[in-house]
Amino acid sequence: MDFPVLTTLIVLPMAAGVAVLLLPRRRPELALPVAIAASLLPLGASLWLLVRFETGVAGFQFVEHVNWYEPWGISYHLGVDGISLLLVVLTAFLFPISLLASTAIKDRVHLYAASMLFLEAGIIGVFLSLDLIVFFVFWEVMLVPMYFIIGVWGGGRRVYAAVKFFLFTAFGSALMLAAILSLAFVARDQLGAPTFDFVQLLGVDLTRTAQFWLFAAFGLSFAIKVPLFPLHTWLPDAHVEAPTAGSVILAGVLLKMGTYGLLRFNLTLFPEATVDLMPVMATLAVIGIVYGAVVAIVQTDIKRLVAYSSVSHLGFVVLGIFALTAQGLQGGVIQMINHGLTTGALFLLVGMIYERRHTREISQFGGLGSVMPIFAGAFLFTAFASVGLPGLNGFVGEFYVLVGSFLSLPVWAVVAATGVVLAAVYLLWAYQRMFTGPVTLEENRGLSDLNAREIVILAPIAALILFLGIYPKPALDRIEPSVDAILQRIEQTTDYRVPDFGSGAVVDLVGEHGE
Amino acid sequence: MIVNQFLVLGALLFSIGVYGVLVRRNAVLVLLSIELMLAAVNINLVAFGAFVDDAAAAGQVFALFVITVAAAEVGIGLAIVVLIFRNRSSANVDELDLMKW
Amino acid sequence: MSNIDFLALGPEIAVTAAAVLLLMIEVARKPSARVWGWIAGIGIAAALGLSIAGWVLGRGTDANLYFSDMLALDGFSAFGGIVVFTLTGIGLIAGWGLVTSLRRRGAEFVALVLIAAAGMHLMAASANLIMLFIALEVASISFYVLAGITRNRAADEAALKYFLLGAFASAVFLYGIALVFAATGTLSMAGQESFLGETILLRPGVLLAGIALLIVGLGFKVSAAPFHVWAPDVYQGAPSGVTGFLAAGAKVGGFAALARVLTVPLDAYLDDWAPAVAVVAVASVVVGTLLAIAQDDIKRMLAYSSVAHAGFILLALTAGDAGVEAVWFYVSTYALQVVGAFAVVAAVSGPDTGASPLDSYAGLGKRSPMMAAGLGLMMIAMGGIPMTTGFVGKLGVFRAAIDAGYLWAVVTALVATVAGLFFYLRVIVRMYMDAPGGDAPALEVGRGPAWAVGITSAATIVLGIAPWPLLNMLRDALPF
Repeated sequence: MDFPVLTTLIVLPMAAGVAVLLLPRRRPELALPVAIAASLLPLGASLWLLVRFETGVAGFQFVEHVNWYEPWGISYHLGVDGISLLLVVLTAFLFPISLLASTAIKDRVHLYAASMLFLEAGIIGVFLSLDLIVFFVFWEVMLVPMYFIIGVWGGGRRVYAAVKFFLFTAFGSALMLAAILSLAFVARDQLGAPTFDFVQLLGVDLTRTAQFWLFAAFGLSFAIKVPLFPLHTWLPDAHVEAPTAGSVILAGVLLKMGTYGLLRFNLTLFPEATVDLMPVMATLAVIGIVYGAVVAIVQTDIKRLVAYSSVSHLGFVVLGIFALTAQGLQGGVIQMINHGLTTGALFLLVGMIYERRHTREISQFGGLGSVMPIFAGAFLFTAFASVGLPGLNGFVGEFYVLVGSFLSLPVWAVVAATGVVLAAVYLLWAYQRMFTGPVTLEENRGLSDLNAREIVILAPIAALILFLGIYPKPALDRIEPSVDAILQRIEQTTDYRVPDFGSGAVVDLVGEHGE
Repeated sequence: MIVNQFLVLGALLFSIGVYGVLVRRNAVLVLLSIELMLAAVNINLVAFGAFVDDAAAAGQVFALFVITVAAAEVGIGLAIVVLIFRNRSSANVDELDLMKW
Repeated sequence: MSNIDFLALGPEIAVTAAAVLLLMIEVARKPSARVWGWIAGIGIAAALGLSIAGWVLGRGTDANLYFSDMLALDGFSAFGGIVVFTLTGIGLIAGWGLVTSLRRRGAEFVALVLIAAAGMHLMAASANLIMLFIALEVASISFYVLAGITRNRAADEAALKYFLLGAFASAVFLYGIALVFAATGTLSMAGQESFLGETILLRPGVLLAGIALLIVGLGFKVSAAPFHVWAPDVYQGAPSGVTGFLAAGAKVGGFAALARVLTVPLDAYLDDWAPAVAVVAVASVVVGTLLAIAQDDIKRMLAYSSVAHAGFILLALTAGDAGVEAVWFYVSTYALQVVGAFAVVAAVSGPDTGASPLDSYAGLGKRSPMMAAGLGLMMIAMGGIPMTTGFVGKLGVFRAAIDAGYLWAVVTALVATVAGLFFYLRVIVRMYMDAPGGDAPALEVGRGPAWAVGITSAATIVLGIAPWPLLNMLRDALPF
């Protein structure tokens, strides 16, 4: 058997977390450096995975399969494909960065560092599991460290935010667990033995009604996590109250667990329901895009603004997924990565200014551009990436999503496009209010610009933003086969035909023009 | 042999016992009501035992066990009531309101 | 018929002998508490060893009935013994502070715990309804006294409430036995099983009424709603050092009895009693969860949560035979969680006091990191979060119930689980997220609670991640 690199990816952070807890309590200053160093190990492992990953193959790679408890049909089944690969790398990439950005944490540092590492293990586990129970285990277990991160090291209303976050997510997953169990019994009736194995479950025939209810139960859980309008109310609270690193992880990877779940499970396991519910999901996504953007415009707190922009951006991801076209799905996946990078960077920047001024009110700033030029530059760069300026990564994702959804859901695509415009409004307006013009408040005059540590934190993200914006092909190449496999499965099991340039009404139009 | 009249008697006694448990406020009377319920069970057991005509006389034997256990139970119960009475000079169960909801 | 095998009765002999010896030595020599500990420890270890021996010899084989069909020595009873005596050991370790604070009466306390353990194991081993009734009473009467052992005002109230409602439940249970006896003509479970399996009752009314009363009577013992009213007062009033043992013991013994009675003699009437059990289960889960939310005392909160847990366990019984495995897993791991949680309570509020307000846990994360971590883990496990036994237990229970066709009950229970997280999280919030008022001193924790919390925490995590040894074992722990 090959070296179990996927298990290593999960176990490394977990072991590191235990190790940090065992560090002597009299030396709290050791905890964070050790955690940062330890979190580089999974990053290395994930890069190794990235290099060794075979491009152009649709199936799961590096598969590990061990029976966990056979009579119940649970197996420890891990695997990675083009969709999860990039998310795993993103997770492993963001954790060292957010740990490095956690120097403001002074209270119970070892507990904090351990929570972060456990969280990393849980998130990576979610992306790698191919058994529904194992998936569920990681999905739920990762709530606990996040709950502590928000609740212990968060802002003023941290307890409220933490409990709300926990209960919202747990409510969704409760119904998902019922759905998972029901699915296993359907599988037992058809395959002879109960199974929670994702790959085997693909071979189970479900009636249309069953698909509808299972889609709803899984979908609710994932939609809460995304969060899809109108289930988003936990998100601003959690984001605002969480410490910087918590927000980065929350926006960067945690929300992606929801969209990943929709893509991985809902689309493949319940194709008929997917096609039936496609307009509903797309509508909710578009409402989220516009609503998130509009609400972001009126925010006075910069962190809340970024939080609502997440609602809007994740709407794009969901729209891309439920466009059910190759471009839409690819755009959705790449947009998950982009949003992780840009919003992560925005939260880091907000955290940096908060550490200096201890306020996040936009009105408390003004003219910072002259005081902190590097900071202003970094903020503008990230804002541009988030808005979707061509040449930066946000453009690639949004473009693919809009093209893909235009093929199948033109009206929705047009409405969604306004979201791009609104994004420019809220981010650039915020930039204008905070950074341009003369310095309005005395307190802001003495602010120091970014120091070396902060530049080190931001530089790798900026590099990736630029790289994915100019040359997204390596990422897209890895995503494409997996995405195509999903669409093929939908075509095989339903009457739905994926529209593309080269088939269907839209393309005929193009063809006539071509001649 | 007709078993009905014993059944009815047993059921009546049991119901009276249940009523007593629910209505009586003095711990000793509640205890007595529980004894009434046990007596009802004993009547049933003996009647059924005779009715099913079991060589091992299981019903009758069981009744003896019930009487024994009930005696032990009452012993403990009265001890607790005495303790309550010593602690608060009353054996009224309504006054046991240190803990509520 | 009257075959005698002392292995079947071995564990009871060991613990009762220890109890009697302890009392005799106490009267004659007045030894130190250490001696009581040794005697009790040896008795429990011997009982545990004999249970394991019974497991090795008795599991998987068919119908090993001894003493005129009074006792069964099968996987079910042997596993019950292993659980009961492990719990008793940990419970005594956790509550040893109470034993020393009782001075000379500590000997009585230890002896009563041992006798209660014998009763609990007998509840799992009884193969005859007479035997079951006596086992139930042996355990219950010991419990009544243990609840009031400190003789203060909270404890006497707990004892009387426990006694009155417990005795009432016993009478109801007895009436149920009498009716089942009337319908089947025998008190032996094996006899009833073959009678009900072969005969079709033209008028099953008497039997069904009997079954209903049996469920009500045992429902009282396991504190299922709506028969749970005693639980909060007893949990809160009883001294903390023994509450864990009372709570866990009542659940283990009660569910062992319930599982055997429902799945062995009454198996043929599964379709009749399973819906009733499902309704009681859902009622317990909902009532327990909703009332727990409002509590400000952690022991009361745990009492209502135990009502909810009784509901979860009952849910598995709706599957009949197929659910016994899930019942055992849930009840044994839950019992460990309860003992662990109450060990922390005893450490925080003192083993001989009753109440334990939630406020006294503020800042426990700093005052005693180990106790806080232990209690936090137990809360997470009771909330059913994965990588703890709580999750595996719930998984098993829900599987069984869905397989039996009670999806509606499972969905309700799942939603209630989430609501339940609210009050489990509240404890964690108090311990980690609220600062203690002023500079609260570090909490002095004795070795007993520390060990109990350590053992139960380790078991909760290890069996939560790798439950298959226990699960494999449980496939042999079915009643005959």
